[in-house]
Amino acid sequence: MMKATIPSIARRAAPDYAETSRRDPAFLSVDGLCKYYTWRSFGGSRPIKSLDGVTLRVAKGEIMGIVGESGCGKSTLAKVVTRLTSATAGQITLDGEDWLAPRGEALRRRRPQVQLVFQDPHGALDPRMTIGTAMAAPMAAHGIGTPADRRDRVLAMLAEVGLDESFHDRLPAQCSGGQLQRVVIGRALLLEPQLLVCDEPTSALDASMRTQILNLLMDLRARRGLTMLMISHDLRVVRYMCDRIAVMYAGQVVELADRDHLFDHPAHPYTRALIASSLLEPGGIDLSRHLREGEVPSPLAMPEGCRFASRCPYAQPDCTALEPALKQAGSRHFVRCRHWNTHAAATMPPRG
Amino acid sequence: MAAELSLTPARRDIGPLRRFLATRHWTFAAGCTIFSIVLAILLAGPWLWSLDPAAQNIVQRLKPPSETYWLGTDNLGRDVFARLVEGGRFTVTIAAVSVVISVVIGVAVGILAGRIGGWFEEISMRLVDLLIAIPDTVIAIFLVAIFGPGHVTLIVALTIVGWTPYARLARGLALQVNAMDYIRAAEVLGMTRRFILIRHFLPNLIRPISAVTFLRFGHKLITVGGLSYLGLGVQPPAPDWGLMLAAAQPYLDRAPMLMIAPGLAIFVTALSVTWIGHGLEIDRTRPHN
Amino acid sequence: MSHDAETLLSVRDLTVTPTGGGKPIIDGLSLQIRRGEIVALVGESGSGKSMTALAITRLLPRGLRITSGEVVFAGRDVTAMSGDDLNHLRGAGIGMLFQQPHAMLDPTARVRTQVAEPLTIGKGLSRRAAFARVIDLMRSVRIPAPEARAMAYSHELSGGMAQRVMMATALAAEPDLLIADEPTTALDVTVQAQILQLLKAEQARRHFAILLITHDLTVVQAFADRIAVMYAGRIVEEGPAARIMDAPQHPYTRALIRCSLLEPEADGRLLSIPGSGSTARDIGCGCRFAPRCTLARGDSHLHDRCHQAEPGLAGHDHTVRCHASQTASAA
Ligand SMILES: Nc1ncnc2c1ncn2[C@@H]1O[C@H](COP(=O)(O)OP(=O)(O)O)[C@@H](O)[C@H]1O
Ligand SMILES: Nc1ncnc2c1ncn2[C@@H]1O[C@H](COP(=O)(O)OP(=O)(O)O)[C@@H](O)[C@H]1O
Ligand code: SF4
Ligand code: SF4
Ligand SMILES: [Mg+2]
Ligand SMILES: [Mg+2]
Repeated sequence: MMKATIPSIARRAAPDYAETSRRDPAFLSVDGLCKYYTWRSFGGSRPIKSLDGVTLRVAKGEIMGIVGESGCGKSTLAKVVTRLTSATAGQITLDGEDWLAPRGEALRRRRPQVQLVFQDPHGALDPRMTIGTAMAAPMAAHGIGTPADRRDRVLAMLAEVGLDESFHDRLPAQCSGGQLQRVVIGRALLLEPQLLVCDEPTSALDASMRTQILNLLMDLRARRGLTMLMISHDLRVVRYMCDRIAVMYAGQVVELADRDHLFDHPAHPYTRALIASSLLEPGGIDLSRHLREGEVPSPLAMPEGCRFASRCPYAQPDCTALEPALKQAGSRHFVRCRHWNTHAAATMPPRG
Repeated sequence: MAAELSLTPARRDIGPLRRFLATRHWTFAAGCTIFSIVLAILLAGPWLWSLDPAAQNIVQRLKPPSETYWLGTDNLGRDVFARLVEGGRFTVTIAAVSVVISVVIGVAVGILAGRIGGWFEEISMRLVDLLIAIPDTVIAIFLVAIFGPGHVTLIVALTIVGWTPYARLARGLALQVNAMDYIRAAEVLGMTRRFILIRHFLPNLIRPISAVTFLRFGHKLITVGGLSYLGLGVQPPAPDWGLMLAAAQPYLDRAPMLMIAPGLAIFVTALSVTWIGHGLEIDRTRPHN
Repeated sequence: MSHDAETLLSVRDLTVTPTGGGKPIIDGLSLQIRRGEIVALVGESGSGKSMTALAITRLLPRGLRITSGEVVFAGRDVTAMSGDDLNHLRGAGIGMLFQQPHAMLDPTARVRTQVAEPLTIGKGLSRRAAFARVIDLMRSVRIPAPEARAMAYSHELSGGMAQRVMMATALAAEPDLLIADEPTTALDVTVQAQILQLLKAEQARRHFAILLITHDLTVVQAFADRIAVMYAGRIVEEGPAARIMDAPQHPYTRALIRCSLLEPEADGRLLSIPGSGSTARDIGCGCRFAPRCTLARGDSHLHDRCHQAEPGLAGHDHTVRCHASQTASAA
C-alpha cells in the first residue's frame, strides 16, 4: 500500500495513551449527536443539518482532533459539547455522567468541567475588562478562593502561560493576538477543567505565534493531563497535536483513526483530498485526482446518498442512492465510504 | 456623566476614565462648562440675589434692562431675570426627571429584549414601534385633558413615549454585545447572569446611551418649553421658559428682551447639553468615519 | 522564468510614513517584478505587506503617505500619476485580489454585472458582448455552471466561489500585474490549493506577473519564482524561491520556514520565534530582528554589532540583511 506521508515532517512520539484508554475507555462519549438549526423563510422553515449523527469516544488524557472544511460543523460540535447550544438529538456523557442533563444553576455550577478556547482571542475578551479581572472573575463566580487568593492564582497562571505580571493590569487592546490567546487559555485552566475544547485556537495567528501556542498547549497537557478536543481545518496542526483524528464532512464524521494510521492509510477519498491539499510542494500535486470541482452540499438540502459524492472522484452509481454508514475498517479505524477497500490501495500520489 | 461615574466600578476605571476625558471633543468641555454655569445660576440664583418672580410693579412695566432689573421687566412689571431663573428651575427639572426615568426604563427593557429575546423581545419591541410614532405633544394634550396640567402630568406625558428610543437603541447595542465571543466565553466559564449583565452589557452600553441621553435632553427642554407655550405645562402666574415666550409675543416690538431672554435661555441650555452628548460620542484622537 | 525579461514593476526605496509623524511603517523598500514573474511577499502580520501593495497602487489609507522613493510601473512613475492615469493603472494595468472576497463584491449587483464592469467601462464593450465574455472568464476560473452563477448575487456564493469571481473580474481587465493580498488565507486548504493552482494556470496562459502577499511560507513554495521576506517594514531577504526555501540565509526566514511547516524539533517541540512580531514603529537603532534573534543572542560579539548597527541588504540576486550572513559570505 502506498503511504501518504509528509516526508519532511518528523513525528512527535505517540504517547502511550492506549493503556489509559483501555482502563477508561470513554471519558467523553458523544453518541449520535445531531444539531439542526432552523432556517425560516416566507414559505416556512427547514432544518439546517449542522451536525447529523456524530459519534466519538475520547479517552482521559487523549487529544482528539477534529478536521474538516469550514461549514462542516466543527464549531457547532464545540458549541454543543460546551453547552453553548442545545442538541437536537443524541447524547454526551462526560466522566460517566449525562452532560446534557444539567440545566440552569446546576449547569452553571458544573461548567468549569468543560472549557473552550476560541479562534479569535480578541473577541473572547471584553475590551473594557483588564486581563486580571477577566481571569479572576470566573473563579469568583464559582466561589474559589478569596480575592487575594484569586489574585495570586491569576499571577501564577500568567506565569504558567508565559506572560509576566505586567499583563495583569493591561487591557486586551494592549496585547497581541498570541498573548491574548495565552490569556484565554489561562483563564480556562484556572477553573481546572477536565475537558478543554479548542476551536481553531491558532487559525487567527501568524506562523510564529501559532507554534508558540501549540507548544504551550502541549506543555499544559503534559503537566496537567488535559483531555482535549482540538478543532482545526489545518491538517498540520492536528497532525502535530492529536492522538486520534476524526475527519468531518457535511455534519458527519467520515473517517476516524489513530493519527499515524490516518496519515499512513487514509481510507476515505475526502481524507486523501485533504492530505493532498496540504502537500503544497514544488511542482505541486494534481489535486484533480483527489477532488472533483463540485460543490459542498448545503446543510439545508443534504443529498440522499453519500454527501461527498458531488466531489468524489471515485463515486459510483450506488453512492448517490444510499447513504454509507460509518463502518469499521481496522481495529481502531472507522470510515464512511462504501468503496474504501477497492480504491484505497492505489490512490495516493507516489512520492519522492 | 453621573451615570458614567456611578455605574462603572471606580477602582479600575480611573485610568481609562482619565484617558476618556482627555480624548473628548472640545464640545464636551464647552458643554459641561456652560451647563454648569446655567445650573449654578438656576440653583443658587434665588439665594444669591433674593429674587422674587411674583412681585408686580405696575409702574415699572416693560422696562429695558437696568441696574435693578438686569433683563428688564414684563407687562406686569415683574423682574424678567427672576422669572427666568424660577422658570428654568421648573423647565430643567421636568426635562431631567422625565429623561432619567425614560433612560432607566428604556435601557432595562432594551437589554432584556436583546439578551433574553423570545416573546419578551417581540412584545416590547412591538410596543416601541407603536409608541415611538406618537408625538409627546399629543399624549400631553390627552393627559392634560384628563388630569389637568401640572408637574406630574407633564413628566408622565414625556416618559410614556420617552423611553422608547432608549429601548430601541439599548436592544440594538445589546444584540451587538450578545453576538460577541466574550459573552459566549462568560457563559462557558459559568459567570452569573448578574455579572454578565452588569459587567459586560452595561459598560458597553453606557457611552452610546449617555451620548443619546444628553442629545435628547436638549430636545426635551424645547419640548417642555413648547408644551407650556401651548398652555399644556405649568399654569400662570408660575413662570416657565415656554410660557414666558408665549406671554412675550404681544410686546415684541416694545420689549424684545421679553422674547430674547427665555429664547436664549432655552437655546443655550439645550445647546450646552447637546454639546455634552456630542462630545461624549466623539474621540478627537481617532479619525471618525 | 527568464531573467533577462523586461522589468514590469520597479519599486525603489519606498518609504511610507504616518502623516501625523513618527517612524515609517515601510522603510526603504525595493522590489523588482519582471513581466510574467511570480513574486511572493512574505512576513508576519503588521510587517507592512498590505501597505506595500496599497502604496504601489496609490491606494494608501488616510493617515499614511509615501514620503520618499519611486514606483515605476511599465516605465511610468506611479508616484507622479494623478486622476485618469491612476484610474487607468488600477483598471487595466494592475489587478487586485483581497483576503475577503465577499467584502470586495457589491452585494446588490449580480455577479455578471461586476465581472463585466472592466469590460464595459474599461474596454468599452457592449453589455451583450461583455456578458458573453463573462461566461468565458467564469468558465476559465472553473466556476461550475457559470451561466447560472453569473445571475447570482455575491452573498449566494461560498468563499471559494467568491474568490473565483474576484479572479474573473481581475482577469477581465487583462492586467499586466495581479496583486493578490492573502487571497487564500480565509479559505479552506482544499479550496486554497485549488485557487492557487488555478491562479498559476491562468498566469502561465496569459503571462501576467503576480505579486502574492501571504504570511504562510508553505503556500508560496510551490507557487512563486521569487520570494521577498519582510520584517518590520523592511525586506530582510530576497531571492529565487527555491534558494530561499532550501537555503534561507536570514535567521528570520529560517525560523519562519520551520514555523510554517509545524515540524517538531529534536526535542519534540515546535520551533518558535520568541517574542511577538514587531511593527516598524517600535524599533531601536540596530537590526530590527535583534530582540528575537537566537543567533545574536548566542554570540556576544555579534550581539553588540546587531544591537548597534542595522545591517544593509547585501548580495546579488539573493540578497540578505544580516550581519551574520555577511560575515559568513565574506569569510
Ligand atoms: N446559529 C446558527 N444558525 C443557523 N445555522 C448555523 C448556525 N451556526 C452554524 N450554522 C450552520 O451550520 C453549519 C456548520 O457551521 P460550523 O459549525 O460553524 O462549521 P465549521 O466550524 O466547521 O466551519 C454551517 O452551514 C452554518 O451555516
Ligand atoms: N492608517 C494607518 N496609520 C498608521 N499606521 C497604519 C495605518 N494602517 C496601518 N498601519 C500600520 O502599518 C503597519 C503595516 O500594516 P499592514 O501592511 O496591514 O501589515 P500586513 O499586511 O503585513 O499584515 C501596521 O503596523 C499598522 O499598524
Ligand atoms: S461512498 Fe462513494 S461517493 Fe462517497 S466517498 Fe465513497 S466512493 Fe466516494
Ligand atoms: S543582523 Fe544580527 S540580529 Fe539581525 S538577523 Fe542577523 S544575526 Fe540576527
Ligand atoms: Mg468554525
Ligand atoms: Mg495584510
